[in-house]
Amino acid sequence: MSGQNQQEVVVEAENYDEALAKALKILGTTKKKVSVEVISTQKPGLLGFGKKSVILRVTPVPDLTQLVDEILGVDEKPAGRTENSQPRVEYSAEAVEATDGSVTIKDGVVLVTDPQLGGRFPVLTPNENTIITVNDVRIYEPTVVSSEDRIWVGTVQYKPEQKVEIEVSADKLTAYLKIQRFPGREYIIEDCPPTPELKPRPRLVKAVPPDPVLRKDIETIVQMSGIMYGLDLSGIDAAIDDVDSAETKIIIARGKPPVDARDGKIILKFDQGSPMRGINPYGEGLVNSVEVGTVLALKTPPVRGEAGMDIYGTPIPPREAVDVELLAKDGVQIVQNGRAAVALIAGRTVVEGKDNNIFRVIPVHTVHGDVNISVGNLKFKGDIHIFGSVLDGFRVEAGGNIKVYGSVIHAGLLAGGSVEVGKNIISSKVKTGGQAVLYKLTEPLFKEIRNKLEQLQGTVQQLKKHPSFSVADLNDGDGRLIHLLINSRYQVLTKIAAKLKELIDGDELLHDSFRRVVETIYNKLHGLGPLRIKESKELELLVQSIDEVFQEIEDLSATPADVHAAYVQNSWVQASGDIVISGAGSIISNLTAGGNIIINNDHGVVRGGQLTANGLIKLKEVGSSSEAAVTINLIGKSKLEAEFIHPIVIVEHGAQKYRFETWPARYVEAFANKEGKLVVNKLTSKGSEGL
Amino acid sequence: MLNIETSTENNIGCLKLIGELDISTIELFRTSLENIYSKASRVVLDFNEVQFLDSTGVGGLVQAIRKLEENSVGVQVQNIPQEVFEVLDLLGIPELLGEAIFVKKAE
Repeated sequence: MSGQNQQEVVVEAENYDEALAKALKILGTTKKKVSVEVISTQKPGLLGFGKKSVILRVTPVPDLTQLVDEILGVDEKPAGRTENSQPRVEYSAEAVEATDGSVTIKDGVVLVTDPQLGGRFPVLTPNENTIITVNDVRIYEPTVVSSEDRIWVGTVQYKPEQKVEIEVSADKLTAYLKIQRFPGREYIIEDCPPTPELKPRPRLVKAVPPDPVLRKDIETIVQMSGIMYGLDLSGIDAAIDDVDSAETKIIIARGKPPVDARDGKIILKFDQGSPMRGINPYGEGLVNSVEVGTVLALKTPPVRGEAGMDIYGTPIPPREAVDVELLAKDGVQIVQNGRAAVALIAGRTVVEGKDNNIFRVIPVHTVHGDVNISVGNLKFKGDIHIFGSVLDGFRVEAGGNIKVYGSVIHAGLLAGGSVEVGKNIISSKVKTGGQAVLYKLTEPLFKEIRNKLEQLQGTVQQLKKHPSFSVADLNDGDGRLIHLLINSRYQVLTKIAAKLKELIDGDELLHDSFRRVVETIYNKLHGLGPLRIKESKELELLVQSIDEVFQEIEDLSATPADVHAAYVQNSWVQASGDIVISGAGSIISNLTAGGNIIINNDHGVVRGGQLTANGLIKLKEVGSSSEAAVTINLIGKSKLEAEFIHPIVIVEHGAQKYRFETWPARYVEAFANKEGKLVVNKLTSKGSEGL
Repeated sequence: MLNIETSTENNIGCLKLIGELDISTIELFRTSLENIYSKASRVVLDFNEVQFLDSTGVGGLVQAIRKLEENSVGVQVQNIPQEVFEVLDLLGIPELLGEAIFVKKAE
């Protein structure tokens, strides 16, 4: 045997057994003649990089030790043995009472005392780090023993071990060296007095720290890991010397993170103003004004980023820079190669586009006093600002917004954009957003009519095929049947047609084509109209004209224009966006909003008149104790929320009507449910009530 | 063709209709009804033998029932054959005038 002359070997393989086999082959020896130390075990890295490996140091042991081991014939040294041939059971002739058996451990030897006269047998239970065999079979569960059994108790002995691993962060920018140390442990079994149930207690008598890792082993591991960029092994020696720690972790490589690109950016340069005094800055409502040549916005160009490098030497590309383009509409010019937007006219700047990159300047016409006989009617394509009031039958028309710091009394305002009135609107007509509001409001009604007309045609076909239905009177077309259906199953058509007519009446500014469609529908479906229908084709033409209206509505994508005022009395107000009344409320007025109607100031009341909205109608107090009738029209998915409603307030949705009677109601909610049925929830003085 | 058998008993007028209620027979139906309702506080229309309806017939029926109700004369249409009931239902008549007025024939 040449083992003694052989140097130790360090081998690497995928697992322990392979590595050991490899070493034994090199050494030309057998498993029992070597000592084995695990230098490292490495798991596959993240993303499967690297492979599983075990590195062992295998050293031949001198033959003498070998010999001793062979003489002892076991790997685990026995801590004791029962003297099974001479069970130490003491018999007592005088014993008259039953006694339980017991087990004891003394100097590592297990002694069993058997029970007397039907007493209980003792039980032996294995413990952590102990090995118990009963009659040469290892036990894992509590086991009943007697003095007849051959019992052996030993301990598990641990060899010192350490693990060396390389960990790589998810972004592959950092690599760590991790050394875990597991000291070797030797135990002996503690003595134990006689007891019926014994669980041997191992006591740690010796903890052996593992030998320090060798620097060259670590270098080998690093080399095999493929890490090549940003390596810094200067901390390794300190990590190796840190023998008292169970775990040491140091950074051994750092990649270079990429430098991100800087996106192109638009910086607004004009004064966006402050909310107009006394006017609720709800949504829009900022006063901003620019002069000719004012720089509205500057663009900072995008800057490219810089690539980084991960620890494996792979470049990491930076994020691409996003550019944004300055665009000009009316009244704006883009200069300096697209880097600046400059006002061509004086006026109000409007910023549009989802990147806030489209600029427009709307001219502003300012009236410093009242609009009266000295100013006359006003018509201007941009915004109009009036610092006084609009009085006495004058009319102000603006393509953009109208702002009146005072009141509007016996006058008319017509704006393509929004209207803000600092004080009151009294006995006046106000309209914003052009036709959009009416289109929006009528859309659900048109839809319902269209829907019902199609259903009606289906019913006509069904009836004509029915065996018990005679078509003898339909020689001149289906007119008679259609008339019957409009007056029975499809009665609702008549009601919706009337509602449509009601909405457009009083709007002198309506497009003729739109009015014509509504009037045709009304004439065909209402009153004696159905009598004039001669055949189904006429219904198809109605459906067609409704589809044309839908097209028109769709084309109107104008941003909703709001109306803000402190107080409205005896007036007609129509907004394609919201109507917000921030002061004392609305008295005997007709308010129509494509968006919401909000009158929920603490003193805000709605007395008399009619409110129609496509969105939320949020009110404080509606009606009065003197029973001022108020009608609230809900359209489509709109909803009413009111804190207090007096009797004789009517809520309508399509053809459905609900009337508040006798008792005032609190916390009222009204809306159409999924089936289109009007639902009114409220509290009355009689208690809560859901309808 | 429509035959109408009329009878009055305990202030209840009964019209039994046999045949079809349509543009050619609606006048007969109207006249028969007018003859009876002034003498009765309640009218029963027996539809057991009605085979067809047309738009004019249904229209006339609706008008007649409305007129009876205006004059506070109770009315019920009884023994309506399934198929005839389907026609009335498609037209939405029971929904319009009251479901209780229209009684289907027992199967």
